[in-house]
Amino acid sequence: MADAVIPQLLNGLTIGAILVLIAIGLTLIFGLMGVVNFAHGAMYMLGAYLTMEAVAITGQFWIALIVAPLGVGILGLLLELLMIRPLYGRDPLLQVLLTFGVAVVLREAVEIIWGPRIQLLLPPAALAGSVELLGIQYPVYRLAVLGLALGIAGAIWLVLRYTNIGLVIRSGAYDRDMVDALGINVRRVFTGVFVAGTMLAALAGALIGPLRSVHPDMGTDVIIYAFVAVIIGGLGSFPGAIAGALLVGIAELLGALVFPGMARAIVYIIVAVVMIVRPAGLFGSDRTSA
Amino acid sequence: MSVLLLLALPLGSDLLFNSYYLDVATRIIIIWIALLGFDLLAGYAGLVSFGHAMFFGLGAYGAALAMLHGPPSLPLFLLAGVGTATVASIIIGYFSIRSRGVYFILTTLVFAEFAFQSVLNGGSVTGGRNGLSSLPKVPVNVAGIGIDWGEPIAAYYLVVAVFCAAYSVARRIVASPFGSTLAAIRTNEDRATYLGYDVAAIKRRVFTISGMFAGLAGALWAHHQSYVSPELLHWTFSGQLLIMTWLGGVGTLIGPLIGGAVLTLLADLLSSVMKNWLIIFGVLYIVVVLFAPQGLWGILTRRSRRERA
Repeated sequence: MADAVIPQLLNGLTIGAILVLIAIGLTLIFGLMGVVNFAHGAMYMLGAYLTMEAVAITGQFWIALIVAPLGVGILGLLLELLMIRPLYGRDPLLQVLLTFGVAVVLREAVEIIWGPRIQLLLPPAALAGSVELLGIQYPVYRLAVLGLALGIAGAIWLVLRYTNIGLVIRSGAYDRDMVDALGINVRRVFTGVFVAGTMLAALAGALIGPLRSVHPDMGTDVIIYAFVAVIIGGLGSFPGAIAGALLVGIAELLGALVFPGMARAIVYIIVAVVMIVRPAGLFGSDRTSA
Repeated sequence: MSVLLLLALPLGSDLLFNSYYLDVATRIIIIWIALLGFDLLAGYAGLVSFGHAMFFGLGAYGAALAMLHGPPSLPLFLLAGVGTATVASIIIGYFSIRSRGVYFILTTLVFAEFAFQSVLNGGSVTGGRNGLSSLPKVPVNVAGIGIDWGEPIAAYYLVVAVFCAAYSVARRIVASPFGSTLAAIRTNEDRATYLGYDVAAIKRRVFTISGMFAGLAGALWAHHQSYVSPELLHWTFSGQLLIMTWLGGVGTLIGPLIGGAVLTLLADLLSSVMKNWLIIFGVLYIVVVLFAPQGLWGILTRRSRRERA
């Protein structure tokens, strides 16, 4: 049994780590801007597809890892400037409706461009193969993904905690108007956070390619899990996003061991319990409730 | 007047247009019933729910199970469908209504996904991924004449009849004091609370009513299609209802009907030409959200933008 648990636990952590990248962006965008970004899943999907294209063109996974998030980041910039900005100050519901529309359009666009087939990617040669760990053989690529994702999360934590811009973001998430009143260009911070969040999601998509297949529905598939993760962790909370995402990842994969087929249900039961017992999430505060 | 139009529509079939379109029209009108419920919830009460498809699907499955395992009877399967959806909406409404604003949207989304997964993994009860098929049509006698469901006209008139009833109920609700309270809650929930209204209870009530409409539509769908599958519950279907509603003009009851008709009709026409027709509606929808929140109906009647406080 232990033979199965350890790899599943690591798998759960790996998937959770990728979810962390998505959840961080989602939660910060909501905390700071009040926008529930339905299009976040589409950014993840685009990251995967752009990586696939970049690898096909250049043959280098590493180039793809940089190009894909940049490309999607530009799209995110355009999205924020053209569509989301005009809606600031208006009913937050409209922003949700808008990002939902964007998600739909992007999903269809991807299917038009790349077709509905499920695509499979291979990990880069340098990271192929497995390594001996805790008595089992475990793929190097997964460990690399885990390390990279947690490393980035750690770097973001340092930025939020110790830099000026991090302070602005944290204060803005706490009280947007006050930060504005202090003379800081909140709009620019919004754009920056939105683009950064988008790039994180794209990076997650870039990394997931070799682990799970690439297909037009991957955005809509993942957005639910991302929402669940940030709900559990608390919308707007950075540590919450990490905790929630890892929890979802582990819960689903360990759940698959114990109750195959019902693994996803376990995740929903957890979020249901959290919503009932502590609606603001594990790390959320009541202030962040709408 | 429009009722007469609806009733007269089948006369044109085979003469003016292919009777296949009668089937399309039937489906449109079934979706109309679901849209009425959605507009009551999202348009009038201001509660955008991604769970609407869940109640539609549950209604469909409830009716399907009644058709498969119960005595063949029209009122029975309609009741089974509506009943299933009603019970579900009472339970889920109780938990969802506690959240406000965007949290409500996310909560309904999560519940919808849970319901979808449950049906998908429901094994032999729900037919799992394949759903339930070959649902028997119910024998109905009208004035001693048995109805032959093979004729599209029969299904069409049944659906039109139910829709007319549903529409008049929806209109009545909107015009009633309850409807005014919904508008009050949508405009300024805190003020409604201070005025002494039990906002949570009212929200639960409209949530349940909305679910009943969806369940009724789902039951009719199950009978018409003779087939139910898990996709009926998926939140992306809720999303399509959302797009129909907003495109047509949210909060007007008529607007969503226009949106529903346009979307379904064009989807049917375009799907043979272009597999990803949805992208066109997605773009139109975005345009509407950004520039014309009053939707097509609002543009047609040149109504002023609905203010949201």
